[in-house]
Amino acid sequence: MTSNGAHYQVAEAHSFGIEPITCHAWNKNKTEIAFSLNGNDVILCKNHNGHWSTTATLSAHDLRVTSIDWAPDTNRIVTCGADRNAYVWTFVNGAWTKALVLLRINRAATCVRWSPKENKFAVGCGAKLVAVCYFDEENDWWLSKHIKKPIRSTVTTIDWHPNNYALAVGASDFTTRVFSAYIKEVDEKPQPSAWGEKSTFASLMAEYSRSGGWVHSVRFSPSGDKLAWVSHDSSISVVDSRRDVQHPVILRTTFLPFMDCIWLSEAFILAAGHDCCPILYSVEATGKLSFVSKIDQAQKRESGAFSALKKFKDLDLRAATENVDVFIETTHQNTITQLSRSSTDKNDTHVCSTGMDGQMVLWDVRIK
Amino acid sequence: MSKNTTSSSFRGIDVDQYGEDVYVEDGVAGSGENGEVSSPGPDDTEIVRLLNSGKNVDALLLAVAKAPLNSKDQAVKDKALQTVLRILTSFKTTEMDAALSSMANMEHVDTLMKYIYRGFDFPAHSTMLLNWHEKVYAIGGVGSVMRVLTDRRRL
Repeated sequence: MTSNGAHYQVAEAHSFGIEPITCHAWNKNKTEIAFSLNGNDVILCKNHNGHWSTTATLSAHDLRVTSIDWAPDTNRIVTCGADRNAYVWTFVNGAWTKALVLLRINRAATCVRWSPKENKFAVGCGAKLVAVCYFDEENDWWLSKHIKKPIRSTVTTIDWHPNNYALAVGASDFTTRVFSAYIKEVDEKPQPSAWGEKSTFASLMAEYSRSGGWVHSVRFSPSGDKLAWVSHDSSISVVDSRRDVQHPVILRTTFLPFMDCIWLSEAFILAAGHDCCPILYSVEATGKLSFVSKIDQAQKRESGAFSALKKFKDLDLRAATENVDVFIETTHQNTITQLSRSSTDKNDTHVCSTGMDGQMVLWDVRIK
Repeated sequence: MSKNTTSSSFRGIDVDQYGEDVYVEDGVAGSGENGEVSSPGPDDTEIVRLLNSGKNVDALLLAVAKAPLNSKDQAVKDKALQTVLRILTSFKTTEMDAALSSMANMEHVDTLMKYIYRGFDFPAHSTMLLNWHEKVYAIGGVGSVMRVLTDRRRL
């Protein structure tokens, strides 16, 4: 289908049930997906000839799993949950074995991401801090160092710069910050980047505060020069470190708030959230941020001819005695909570979205 | 069973004050992009002058641009609201679109939306405000309403 500015196609829409998909992560080949259905378990699924089958269930958390990340090269999964724990899962002899991480936090962990070199990961949490974790060979366990100041509220989202040491942190204090997460035990001396020269652990390299909503998602562009974030005041902000590292360009959109955003290239951002539909934005070299198109055309579902089966199904599912249409006009039937790349080719803009409706939708987006 | 089981007064206890780093709300985080700490609100005499000479659109633009968003003084905000309500009432229904199309800055549209919601406190103006709401909503969409709800800088 074509919308103004982009071709797109729903390659696949698969429902994993009625539970919302809290978070998901793909393996390196994008053949296997790990996700959590609003529960304590992480489910791994593989596609066999168009049929998704469970390959493993990772059970360790005592409370809801809040975030998953899958390191492509080392093939390790890290999960974190509301039980204040994080586990690193390694695939040994055909089974996933877990290792507990010493997070030392007293509130729920909210988000976790492997660093690009996969030698460390960062965990955001409700204790107003980010725990940067690395493997301690001597003691054979995962240790953490804390970035505390000046985060003033729950950390909701984190993202690594490709240089493996700058870390973007979004929090519910309406502020996006860039920290150095350089750990001298495991990292080489970092090169100065456009984001700043300070490299000591936990030093604040940039801070963007405005009285908007809490930040839902921060993402570095593929080169790491630009940083985008979406907030609960329905805005998208982009800061270009090469152009003006002090002042972000803020676009106040006319839509409901976005929950996640990803860069399709250096010039295009896809954002999705409470509107249940991914929306494409362009970032020009001048920094101008503008709306391109919705990547899901509103189309009325045909309600189908009257059938006895449908009547009883409606009666059973939602106690409907009349023929009522409860579907909304988008592919996703509820808030989209996460977006990810679903193609191994970096130039390919295949995107996966999961949401509160329990659906995973694979999009084939082509920008004109 | 203990007598206190049904008591919910413990919910009123501020446990966070015992934490090592207490969240203290400061004015700096709430200040605008231009860094001003407080603004006195729109100048009344200037507004009256504009209204009297029939420049309703200019009066509205001025009032919205000078909104005391960062002021901590509720009296200043109330006074600004009354001024804006007076401007909004002086518009004819046919003039609304022209006024809004001259409002290029999305931030000003959001501020106007804030005034409209704040103005609903006074039911006498509801009909007029609902007309305005419809027009502003056509420009700002639900995003504008979201920003009224989320922004800590109330009017």
